Amino acid sequence: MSLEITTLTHTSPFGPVMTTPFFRHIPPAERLLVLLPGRGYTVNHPILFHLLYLALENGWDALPVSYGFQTSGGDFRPEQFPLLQEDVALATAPALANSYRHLCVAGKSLGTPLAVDLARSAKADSVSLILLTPVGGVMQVLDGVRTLAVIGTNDPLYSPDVVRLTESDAHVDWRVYDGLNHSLIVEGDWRASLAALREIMDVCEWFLREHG
Amino acid sequence: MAQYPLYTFGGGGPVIHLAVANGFPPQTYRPLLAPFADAYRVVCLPPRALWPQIGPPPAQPGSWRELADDLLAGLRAHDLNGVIAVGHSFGGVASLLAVLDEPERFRALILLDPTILPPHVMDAIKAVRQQGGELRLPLVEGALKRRSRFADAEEAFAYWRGKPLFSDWSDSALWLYTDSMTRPAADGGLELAWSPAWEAYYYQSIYANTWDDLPRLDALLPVLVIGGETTDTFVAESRERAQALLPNARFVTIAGHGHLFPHSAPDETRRVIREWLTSVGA
Repeated sequence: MSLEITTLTHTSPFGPVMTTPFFRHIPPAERLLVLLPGRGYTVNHPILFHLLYLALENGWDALPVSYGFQTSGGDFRPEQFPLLQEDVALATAPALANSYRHLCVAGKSLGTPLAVDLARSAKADSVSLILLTPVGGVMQVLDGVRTLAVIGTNDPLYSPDVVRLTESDAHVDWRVYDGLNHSLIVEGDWRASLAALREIMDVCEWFLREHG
Repeated sequence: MAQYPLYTFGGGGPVIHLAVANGFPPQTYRPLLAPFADAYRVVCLPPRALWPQIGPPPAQPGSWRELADDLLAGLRAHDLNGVIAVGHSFGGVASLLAVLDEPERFRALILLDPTILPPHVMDAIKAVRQQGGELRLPLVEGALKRRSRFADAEEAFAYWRGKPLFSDWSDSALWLYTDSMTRPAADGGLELAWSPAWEAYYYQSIYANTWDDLPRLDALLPVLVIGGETTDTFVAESRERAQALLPNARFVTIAGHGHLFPHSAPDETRRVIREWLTSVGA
């Protein structure tokens, strides 16, 4: 694997100047994975951290985004969602300008509606989504975008009804894990948490290979 | 002794040693460090790029461990002990590694916007190296493309005055840079004293294991970490993780300045350092 690591800079609507590392293969890849973290589940938390390398190893370029409110040490209020959308648009625009044929956007929790937004506006030949612990409503607005959705049964956001209603959609692959909470771990059982992490990584790798 | 040239800012008493940033000669730190000569002996062991008659850098990238090895060998050669290590950018990493290798030689460590990139960047660099791949960093290409010849100092000053990198530097700071970064070329005019080839070599040799080393530092000696608010090097993500790994260290941010705050905000930086040195009895 040969990589060029550059830094994309933008001023976040939340205030701080953001630096986003952009990992590009040498020679250039035709596929890009954008990672959109959760409110507290950053790109350095296990699943997103490993997903970045998994993508690189599979020939995808990668862009792990952080939000301005995370960098400034502040918190996020729901009414600030438009600022978050703008933050993501500014962070990703220079990378997306490279006209990738395949785009996959991975979002965790708060990042899932942002991922759907980005996927719906993207201009790549093929677009797909990895939605980790999707938050309310996003599964109903996918508009036929190929999607891997992951959630645990101990996640307060888990709704068997949402899974049942959307799993018949040929574009959606659900993976529901027994006992995982919103951080996709089994509380108090690190062995089970690591085993789940491995399973989730395997299914993400399968998904990226199938749809890139 | 000539193998380890020593630049001195003057003074006497406890030793402050400066490890410079890549491409910034020790003279450029005079506004920040010379006033410490009222209570300290302030010195710098310049990296090999500035050694007389050094020639071109090695053909293959090395490691910033070489900087730490040279730093320790130089301190030994000049019999410098009880050192307060100050390191800027890659000099911060070199100082950190030197402290970990020989902690008994140091009494405190001050990191100025150290080149500790976020974990996922460091891990990607390690992965590329482990797989024997090519690692391309824009800083390397930028260094190699850097203008290296000028007719005279006025031309060099005017050229750098227009560069965004120096936009928040005072004229006097930029003149220190101009005078120390240029030297007479054999065929007339001026050339860069810190050659683009050495600058690129150092960037290509970036040390990527700092996150593994950092936790060992906390119990060894007092640590002060100063970052620039708008830095593109020691970014918030790195600062937060470093704070978690160094719970006993003091972290300070210089508002409104970037990676080069030791040059653009020398007075504020010195004030922070002096207050902290007093607080830890160093």
